Amino acid sequence: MSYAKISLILLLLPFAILLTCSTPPRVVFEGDGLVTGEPGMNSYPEEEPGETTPFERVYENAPPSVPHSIADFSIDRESNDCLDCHLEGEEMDEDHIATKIPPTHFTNEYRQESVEDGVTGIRYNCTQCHVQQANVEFNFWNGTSSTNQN
Amino acid sequence: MKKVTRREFLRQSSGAVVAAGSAIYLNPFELFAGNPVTDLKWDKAPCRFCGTGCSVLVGVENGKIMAVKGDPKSSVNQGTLCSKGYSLPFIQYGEDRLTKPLIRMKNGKFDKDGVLSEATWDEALDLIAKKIKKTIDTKGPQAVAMYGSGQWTIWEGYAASKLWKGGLRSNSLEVNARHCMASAVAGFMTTFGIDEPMGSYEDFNHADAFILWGANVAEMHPILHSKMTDRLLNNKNAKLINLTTISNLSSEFADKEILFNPQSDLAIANGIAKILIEQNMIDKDFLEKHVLLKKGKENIGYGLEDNFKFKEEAELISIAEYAKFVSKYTSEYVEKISGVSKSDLEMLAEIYGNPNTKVMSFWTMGVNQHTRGTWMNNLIYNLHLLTGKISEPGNQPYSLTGQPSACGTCREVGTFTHRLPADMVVANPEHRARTEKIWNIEPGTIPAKPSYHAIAMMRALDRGDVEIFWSMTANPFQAYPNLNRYKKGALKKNRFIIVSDVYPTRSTEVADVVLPSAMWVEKEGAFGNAERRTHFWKKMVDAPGESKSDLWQLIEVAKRLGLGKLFEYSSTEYPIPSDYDVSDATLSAGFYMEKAIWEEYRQFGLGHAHDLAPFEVYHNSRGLRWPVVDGKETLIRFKEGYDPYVEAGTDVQFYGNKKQDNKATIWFRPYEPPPELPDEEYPFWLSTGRVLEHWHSGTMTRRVETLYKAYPHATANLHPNDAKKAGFKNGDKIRIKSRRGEVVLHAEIGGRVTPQEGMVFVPWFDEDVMINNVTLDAYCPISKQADFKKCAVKIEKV
Repeated sequence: MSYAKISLILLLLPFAILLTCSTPPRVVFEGDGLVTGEPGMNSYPEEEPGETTPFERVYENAPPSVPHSIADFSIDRESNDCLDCHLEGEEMDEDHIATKIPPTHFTNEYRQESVEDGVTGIRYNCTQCHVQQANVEFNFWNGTSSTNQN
Repeated sequence: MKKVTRREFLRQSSGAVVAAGSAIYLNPFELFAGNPVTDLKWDKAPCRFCGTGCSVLVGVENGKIMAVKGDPKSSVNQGTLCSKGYSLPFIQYGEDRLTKPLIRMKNGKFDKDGVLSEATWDEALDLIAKKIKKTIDTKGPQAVAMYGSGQWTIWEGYAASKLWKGGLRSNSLEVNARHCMASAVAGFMTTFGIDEPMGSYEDFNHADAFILWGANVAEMHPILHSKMTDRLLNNKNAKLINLTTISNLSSEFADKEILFNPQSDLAIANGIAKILIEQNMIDKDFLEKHVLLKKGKENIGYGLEDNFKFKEEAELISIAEYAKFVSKYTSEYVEKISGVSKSDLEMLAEIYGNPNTKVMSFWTMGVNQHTRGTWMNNLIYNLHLLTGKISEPGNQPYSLTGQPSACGTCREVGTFTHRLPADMVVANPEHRARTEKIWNIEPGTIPAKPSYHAIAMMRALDRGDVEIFWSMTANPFQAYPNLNRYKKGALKKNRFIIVSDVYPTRSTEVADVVLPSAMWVEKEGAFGNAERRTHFWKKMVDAPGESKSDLWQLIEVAKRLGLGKLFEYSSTEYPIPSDYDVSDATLSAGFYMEKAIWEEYRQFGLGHAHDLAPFEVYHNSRGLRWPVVDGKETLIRFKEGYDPYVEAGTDVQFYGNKKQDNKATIWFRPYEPPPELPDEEYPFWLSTGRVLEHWHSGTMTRRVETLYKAYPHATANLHPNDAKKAGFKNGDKIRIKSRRGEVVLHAEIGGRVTPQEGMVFVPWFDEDVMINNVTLDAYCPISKQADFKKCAVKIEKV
């Protein structure tokens, strides 16, 4: 390794350490002062279906989050607005195809039954698994808390 | 596999019959049939979160949890999970996981005014043992308190109970489940003389009507809600009625949402009973054979004073007397108190009263966290007993539970100041003697008097009557009501607070010693869910750093107190298995600690209607519903043909009440107002609760990115008319203030829930919005469960 490379590493090392350490623990064990964070407001994407890109699954077969607004959606006995597009994987336009519901949702292995014209009853409440993602950074450790002493 | 259309599906699923006492031991090799998606190693566990008790398949690779899936062969969740369940692979991997013991120190020594500093296990455990010894010497054993939870494994709760009651001679053992389902227990004990639901989740497939009594199942028990929607979709005539104080997600699937004023559920239930009697919709034959009627004490108080006492005074009454008592609850009177219309009340009575409608009632925190929580449990049972709609498929009153092992650990092991395993109590000399015999300890060891229930324990800590408070798997300093008082109490001199947890929390903030715990599949465990299902799991990954299981922690402290023999078992009888990973407690002991504890614990229930199966059976099944007799689980208790404890020819036997000829009790319980009502100065009701994405105080779920972003902050949900009157817009910063404390947060109008006018709802998961500084520590005098749903507040713009 050249001298220049080593000195560059040495030069950057403190920054690298600083970067990796830049996430302080949420609760700081200093004295008996109580840590106080800031209350926040939740706001969710307003883009309509067909205007957004799907979220990656967080692990293989994890339920993907919902990228678009569902503010006016209803899931009840009469209708399920999610299924309108996702049951068949509807093509919204050439760049946007609704994620098609996988076969796991049409069968109930426990009962040894499958449904041809919809999802199984136990999977009908889409939003109990597929959640929206608010317009926030995931700043649990470093964003909302400060170390103000009471 | 059969292919069916929705129509056929309907017919087939409604035609299914609950098999009586079906034995479903599984071939473990079939457990994970299906298509494994990668080469992960899969094993089974119950979910870490709510009392539903979903079965989860956990995928592990290189010592790390990589994925989970809903167990497709589980009768509970049938292949699916909720968003919390799907986030299980992340809950143990938060960046600030506690991995080393911490002691509050100054100049290298323990000091209440010091800073939490890293220490060794020996230093931390020695200090705890020294403090416990000193406190027992100076203040007596009741001044040493353990506060556990419904998230303890069964053996952890059992070890804590044995160490406290059988070792330290202290009854100062409580659990957060006191705040969760103590009213449910008191309801079962007063009505049936034995705890826990008679039915199981199989009943969902048979019900024609689901009545929710102040239970937002769509968010709090999502999979149970899905089981209801499954039934509703497949049975067009089935109904869901959402009786609630807040318009919530459970209303979306409901045929009818009925809004009622806080506390008025007491009047509604009595109003329904009145109609049932007057319109002759009661089952006289059932009443005669299986029911007694009683009237209890009235004007029973609210437990707001430190040394509050209550003693029930019950008298037998006739059905005519009972009818006379409830005759006061006319539709007009009920409407005046509750706001529920005559036609809605009649509709409810028709559902309960129609002999052709199979009805299930559900409730959890709305009914249990109630200054008349025990009464409200009694009143719902009354409706099922009056109509004989109980203990048969689809006809069940169903008390839901909040935590994964509130039933398995807290209720069945009896980790409360007054209780012992298998529904026994410390006040009963026979029960103490039986426990002392199984524990192989000196007769007279277990104190005969309960010491402090959860609220009293915290008050005693504030006063100084309790000096040591050890919290495990709980976050009391975010979760207790009227926290301002109790947090100050914990910080006082001569108080020693120990917190065993996995992350820094509001409770570790006030701790003098913090112990890093192993969680969920980092240890071997057992939970018991809301259908009496006991479900085991094996250790699948290592705990990070120096974290240790709560079981190991308890036993190590026991050893240091000279009480190690409480946990000494035979290594020949309980050899360590060689084909799977075992826990730290087992490795330290040199024998299979969990199995040894289980086999001892099981003796309490055998032959006493709480029979549990041998240890291995649970590792090879997806859980079994007790009583498990002759290898068969019990789907419906008290019913002949289902429950082996019911004698032939009796049809139904409420054998928990042997002393009253196996009859259940209908209680007359009146409407009484709550201790604090909105007034001119504090004009709003405050109700608190949870949201779907967060578990309790959010310490696990807020560390998962998907869940954090799904519901980042606690907000104040308001009715649009109230917001308009007060001039608040959506997102405005407001201050909610009660006589006890205040909190600043953002107003949300048109959010997921909409309270009635004159009411504000705030979830308690957010440690930046300490709503429990505002709540009131009034409790049900019978169950001692606090009411987190009602107090008076004012709201100001900040």
